[in-house]
Amino acid sequence: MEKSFLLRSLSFALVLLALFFPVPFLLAHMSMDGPWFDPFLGTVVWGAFLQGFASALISLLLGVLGAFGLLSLGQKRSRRQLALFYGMLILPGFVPPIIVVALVSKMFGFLPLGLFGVVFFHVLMNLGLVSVVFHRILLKKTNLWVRDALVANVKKIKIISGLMSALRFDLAWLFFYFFVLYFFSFSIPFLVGGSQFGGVEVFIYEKVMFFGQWGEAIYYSMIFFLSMLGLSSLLVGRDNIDFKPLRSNTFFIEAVAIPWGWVVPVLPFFLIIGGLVLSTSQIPMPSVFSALSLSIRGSLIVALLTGLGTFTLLTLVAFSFCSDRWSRFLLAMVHPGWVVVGFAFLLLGGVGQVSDFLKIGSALTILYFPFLFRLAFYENLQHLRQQVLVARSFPVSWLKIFSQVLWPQCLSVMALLSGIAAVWACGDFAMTGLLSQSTEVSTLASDMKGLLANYRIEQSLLYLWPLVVVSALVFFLFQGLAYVGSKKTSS
Amino acid sequence: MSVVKKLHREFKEFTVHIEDWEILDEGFTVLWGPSGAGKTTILNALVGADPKAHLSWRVHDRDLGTLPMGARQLGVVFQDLGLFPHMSAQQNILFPVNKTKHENWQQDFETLVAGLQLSECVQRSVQSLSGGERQRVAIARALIYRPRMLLLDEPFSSLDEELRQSSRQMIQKLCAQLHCPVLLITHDRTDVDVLADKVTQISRGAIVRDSLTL
Repeated sequence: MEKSFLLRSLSFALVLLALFFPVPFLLAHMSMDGPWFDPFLGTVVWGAFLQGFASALISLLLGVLGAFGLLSLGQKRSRRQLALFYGMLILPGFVPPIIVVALVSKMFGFLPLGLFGVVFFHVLMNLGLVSVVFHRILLKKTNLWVRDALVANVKKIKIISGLMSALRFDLAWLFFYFFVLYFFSFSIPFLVGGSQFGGVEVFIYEKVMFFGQWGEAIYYSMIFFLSMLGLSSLLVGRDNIDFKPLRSNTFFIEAVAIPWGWVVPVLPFFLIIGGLVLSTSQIPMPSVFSALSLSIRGSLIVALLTGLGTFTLLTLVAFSFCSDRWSRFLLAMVHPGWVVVGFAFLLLGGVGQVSDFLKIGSALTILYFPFLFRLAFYENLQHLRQQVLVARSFPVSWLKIFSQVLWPQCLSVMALLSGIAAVWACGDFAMTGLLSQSTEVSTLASDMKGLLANYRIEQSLLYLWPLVVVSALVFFLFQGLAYVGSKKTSS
Repeated sequence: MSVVKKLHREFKEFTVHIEDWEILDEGFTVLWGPSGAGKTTILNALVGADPKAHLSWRVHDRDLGTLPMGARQLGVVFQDLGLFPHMSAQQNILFPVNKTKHENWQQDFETLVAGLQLSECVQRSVQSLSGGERQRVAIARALIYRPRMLLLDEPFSSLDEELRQSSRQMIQKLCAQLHCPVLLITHDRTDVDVLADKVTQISRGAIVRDSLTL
């Protein structure tokens, strides 16, 4: 067998080992002392269904309006301007939820709670993403249909209703995708959902944190992990989002644009910016910064470890350059749940802050990796398949193919995804709460969550700016590293 | 001559099977047939890109069919060229070269660049090259390490008629100069008329004619 094949298989096995590391713990410690189904489970699932359904429906309605609005920007803007605008739209979805919640509460002066709160924050964070995705679908699929309709002198309203009918499967897929995302979401229901709309992940989390029922928590995690894996397998291959504006001529489709419709999806961005501006009065004095130094240090370490962990896993996947079948397997992969991952790392043992930080960073890496791989890395690797085939036909080593063909073309995406993972890790409070046994381990987000949970909103805002600064710092650090790496590679 | 035996690849509704096929040691062997006849399937099998294809390919007492892709020492130009977009033309051409083992690589590089008229564009990014230039860069890359054979998959299909003629002449001249045999895969009858020293006609996955002239 080829040496390179063994090395590639080994690197892929390492990825699988990391992703499936918590599963044996799940199987070994699953136990039920009480009834098979908690009496409160029905209420939790119904609440999760209601908020998921309402969030997905409203996101879709407003997102479609936004997508038709985006069509009006088409040819008048340069590629760079459009990319910037896309960035503004999808940004709220990548800001840690705890920051969004704090900013919105600052903006409105109160915190929306319960079903309304969960739906409001879900829509706020993902509306831009829905608009961008549906806008892409419109551009890719309907330009020539619209041309034919225009030639036949069909009215604009009729063309739009015809398009909606023709794209009903895409709409159904989008609805389903976001419904699944919202049904299993954790942070937003945890922060604002209350007891009835806390969602399934929070239900499991609270079983551990408040009642110490690990066995039951793992049992429910297993049920939800399997259902999520099943649903995700159905969605495989359909949820890759390409954020690059199209270059092709989209002249015809612009005839059905809804002018100013783009204002709807861009509102969340300005709401967040508005919240940031309003909270500038809360920018802490240097003395306060130093008082927060322990938490700032904690957030930085967790973010860097998570970013590095993600970067390492992505590098291993790129090096293994697994077959299409294995790539699709990774595409369908979901994490086994916060509690299971956390529990697996708790059982590893180890005491002290170094051990705690390492465990938190590793656990967050495992949790974020499946989504990040789906977001952009799968498509990135697929684009390179033909180039790798050609390179392999030459008598060159796999190391050369990896370092000269794959690495330079994966580096920027890997840095972007690692940066996103690092930003999310900055906003993590759940895993830190589960795994920090040392009193020295605290992060800005976990402190902030403690204050928000006690409705001390004004005090929690003190943590906001340090959190924003740390998030931006780690994100740009990873982009900078990728820039340096690409310069070194090309020289 | 090299001999391909028992090349077999099965799909759900289509099978490619070649019992016995001789490829010339010099000049142009042309595999000719309509779209969907199985030409690219045969190329992938010869190159080793399709792990599900089985074949024996005897070249000077070695069975290439048992070797992994890169070890077959074939120069391949696929239909979509597969150039590396982040590299310059020169970097693309020199990619397969092992500079420690290949002593005369600079001389070979210059011969290829001159022979394929690439002198003016070797420093440019491949993304800025025209279709014809890209195709010639891909051919130079496939020839730079002195492969035992050059395999070309529909190399002229994306070029206009004038460029096709000049490209045919250029490749013919260069391969004769380098003593490199060529297996050309095409659906274009003109390629057969102009280049072929041996023609193998394929239809529905099987050889229907194999002769020195059509």
